[in-house]
Amino acid sequence: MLEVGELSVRFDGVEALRSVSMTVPEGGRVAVIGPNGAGKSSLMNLLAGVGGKSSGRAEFNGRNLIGQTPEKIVSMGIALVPEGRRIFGPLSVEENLLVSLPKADSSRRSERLEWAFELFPDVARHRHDPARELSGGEQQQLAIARALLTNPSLLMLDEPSFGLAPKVVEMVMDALGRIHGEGTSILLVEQNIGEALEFADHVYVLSNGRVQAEGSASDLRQQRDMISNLYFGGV
Amino acid sequence: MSRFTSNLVSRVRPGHREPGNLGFLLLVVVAIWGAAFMFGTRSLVDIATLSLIQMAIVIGLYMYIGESGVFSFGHIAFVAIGAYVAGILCIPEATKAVIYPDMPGFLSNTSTPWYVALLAGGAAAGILALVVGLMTFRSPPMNAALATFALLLGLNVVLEQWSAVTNGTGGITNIETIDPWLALAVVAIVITVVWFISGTRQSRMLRASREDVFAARAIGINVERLRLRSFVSSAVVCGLAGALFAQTQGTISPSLFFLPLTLLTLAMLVIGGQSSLTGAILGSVVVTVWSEFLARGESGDLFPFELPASSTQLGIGLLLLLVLIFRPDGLTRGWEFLIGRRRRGSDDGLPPMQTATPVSREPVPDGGGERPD
Amino acid sequence: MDTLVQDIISALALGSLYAIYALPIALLFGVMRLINFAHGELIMVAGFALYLSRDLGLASILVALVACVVVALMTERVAFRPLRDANASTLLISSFAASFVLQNLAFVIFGSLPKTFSIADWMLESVSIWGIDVSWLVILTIASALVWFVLLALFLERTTLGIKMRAAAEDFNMARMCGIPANLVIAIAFSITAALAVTGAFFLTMRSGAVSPSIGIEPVVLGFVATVIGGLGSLRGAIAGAYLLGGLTVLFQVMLSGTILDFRDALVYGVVFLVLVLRPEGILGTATPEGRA
Repeated sequence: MLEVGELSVRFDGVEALRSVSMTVPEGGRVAVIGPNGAGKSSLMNLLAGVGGKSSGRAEFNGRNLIGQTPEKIVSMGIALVPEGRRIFGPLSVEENLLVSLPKADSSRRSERLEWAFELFPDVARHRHDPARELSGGEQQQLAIARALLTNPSLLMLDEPSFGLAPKVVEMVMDALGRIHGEGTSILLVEQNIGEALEFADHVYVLSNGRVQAEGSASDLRQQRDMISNLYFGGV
Repeated sequence: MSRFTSNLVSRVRPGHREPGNLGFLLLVVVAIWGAAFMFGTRSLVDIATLSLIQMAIVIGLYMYIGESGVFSFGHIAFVAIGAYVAGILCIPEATKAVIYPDMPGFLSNTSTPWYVALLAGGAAAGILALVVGLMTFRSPPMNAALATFALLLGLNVVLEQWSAVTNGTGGITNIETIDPWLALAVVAIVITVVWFISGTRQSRMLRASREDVFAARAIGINVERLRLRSFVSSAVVCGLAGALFAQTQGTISPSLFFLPLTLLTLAMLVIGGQSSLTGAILGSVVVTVWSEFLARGESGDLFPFELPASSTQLGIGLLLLLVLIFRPDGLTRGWEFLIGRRRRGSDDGLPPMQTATPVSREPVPDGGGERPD
Repeated sequence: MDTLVQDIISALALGSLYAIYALPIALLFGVMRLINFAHGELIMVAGFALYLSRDLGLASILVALVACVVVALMTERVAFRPLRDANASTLLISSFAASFVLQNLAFVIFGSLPKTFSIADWMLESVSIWGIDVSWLVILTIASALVWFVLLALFLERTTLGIKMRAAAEDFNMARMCGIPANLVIAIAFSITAALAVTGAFFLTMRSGAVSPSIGIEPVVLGFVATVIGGLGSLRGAIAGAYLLGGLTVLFQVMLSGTILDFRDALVYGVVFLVLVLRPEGILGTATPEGRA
């Protein structure tokens, strides 16, 4: 589904990604883990259409992603829940959701909204409140709901567990599991190794802009030491 | 240290500003203007003198905008201050008493030699800049830029209304003029001084902060203090240029130091390349030649028809727009004239400043931005 | 007592006019972080369109609207879209340059002399309301401003497009990542400013009875001042700033005299300076904070 080949990204004159290759198969649950500065967000941003200068290949269902506008990428079926959630603070929860509703769905508006609220009842409670008044966990759920309303076939999330209490993280991961169950492929970028390994089928370990290791989640669970080294053993 | 800051530190190395490079630049400037003064017709000398002053202003702009990367839309206010201070001081006393009877006592009685007036102009501009700068240097760059614009707007009103001192919209006339060669000498000295200031460690640190504010702060550079310093010194240069303006043109008025001059000098800076002194100089030359070309067209000397009036201004605006869109780094792209080790990229190995990056992210104020991991 | 009421009405009329100048500045700043100095030239274009089609009476407003929208979209396409990812200062220079180019284009085409004209003379006539003489122009200025406020509020809060525009103003790139077409949002924003320009040009030319290539400078500066005082980027702030400015202007006119009055504008710019430096969120504290992602 998503094919990344020998992708290098330059950002502000620094190489954030060097020759990264990875795939997300249809129906897959893929995680990318790595320490700060590894290049994870650069990868996400590029795939979402807000990246920097790049060389290499990135294709979604055979169609090129590099250089496409963010709106085009959304219409191709990819949605990003970015680092820091970036919900529209002054807009109400409902308005935040309406923003991503595609034109085609505007006649089914209430139906789609109800579907989102069912998936995330915590968010439903604040339907008419300004989004910035929600707690971190609720904002994360809102951001996911907002992305889902664009009907993506691939949902990408950049550090969804950041700043959230463990219980909330669990809830978010459960929601992701359900979303996957309904047919959406998921690409997850995480610093939280535990959650990532539990959730994903396949994992890539990114450090210093390169893929240092990859494998099935079960394999990598055995290699905890190697991963710790990458995180704590210096850049 | 993260990748980004270690990159930056390696960039702030000792510079390569050898005297030979400065000499060449001065030679070019003196040669061009010297030739114009020596062999040109009366009108060419006038044009050349004016463009020399404009170049001095652009050099002043470079010292702040170019080196710090922060914009100022009101620097012409400093030019105006320099012009009026020097202008008032350079009117012969007898004339002053007759034509400007309302001028307050001490101004009316003072008349100084041109070089004193010149320095006074520069100093006055510097003092105003210090006051203004102290109030703005901690603000985000966008606010500071707009604040300087408000300064320009306000000063324009003051110059027009404070008739006792400035003679209002009529302006000040009868200023004693100086020989254009003197102006050329002053400008040459200014270029030399600016060159050496540019080579100091502080300036290199300021340019480093221009490239990457976060990394610069991370290695301990006091960005705000450096910006304030360059703001004031650039104002002094602009003040000196203003004084020269008054002393070479003989008359000044508030409308001369307002939006058209702001746009002209900013255009020269941007077109030449705002990241280097060479760019500032080159930009003034290019824009002057271009506008002269158009002016000839307007008077019918060039084509079988006459270009309509205001074509010159239109042409400058269009050129600026074109450069902004297609080559935002300007002609020199940060290249500083340096014979020796490094030619391309700037003297300190800093990459040229990109004002329009291909990165699609939130438009951020100068020197700011989120850094993804 | 009579003069007090007259003064209040003048302040309201002036404030309404300033609000019409300020709203487009605030709108474009909110969506694009752009202070569009070329808006003054949009007003100028509208003014000239009104002048050229003056024989059509009030229908000239439609002509002006079409002309303005075309020029606005063209300006966006040429001077701003290529710089969409550039920093705020580059955009500012570009808007200066665009303003300069448009103004000089008008000088080239029309010459610098003002052209006098009038479309609706009856507007200058006064009508007596509760014993106070008010001109139709004043009544219409205040009424138009109020209509605009309501229309804008309805658009931004009740329509999907308006909600998308508010989202784009909040976080432009995120809005794009939600599928909102950037170009469309920006085009709509510019079109709204064009309509506001026509409104402003109409009242400006009716008051002054003439149009010239430089009539746009004062409105755009006033709009800028009002927006800053109210807080950059906030529409409500721009409106408040405009009425505050209108009130201050009339107040100074009435209370100050002699030499200080001449410096009134300088005092206003001084206030702008202080607001930018000391309280950038505007006197009302409603602005969008600088440099936020």
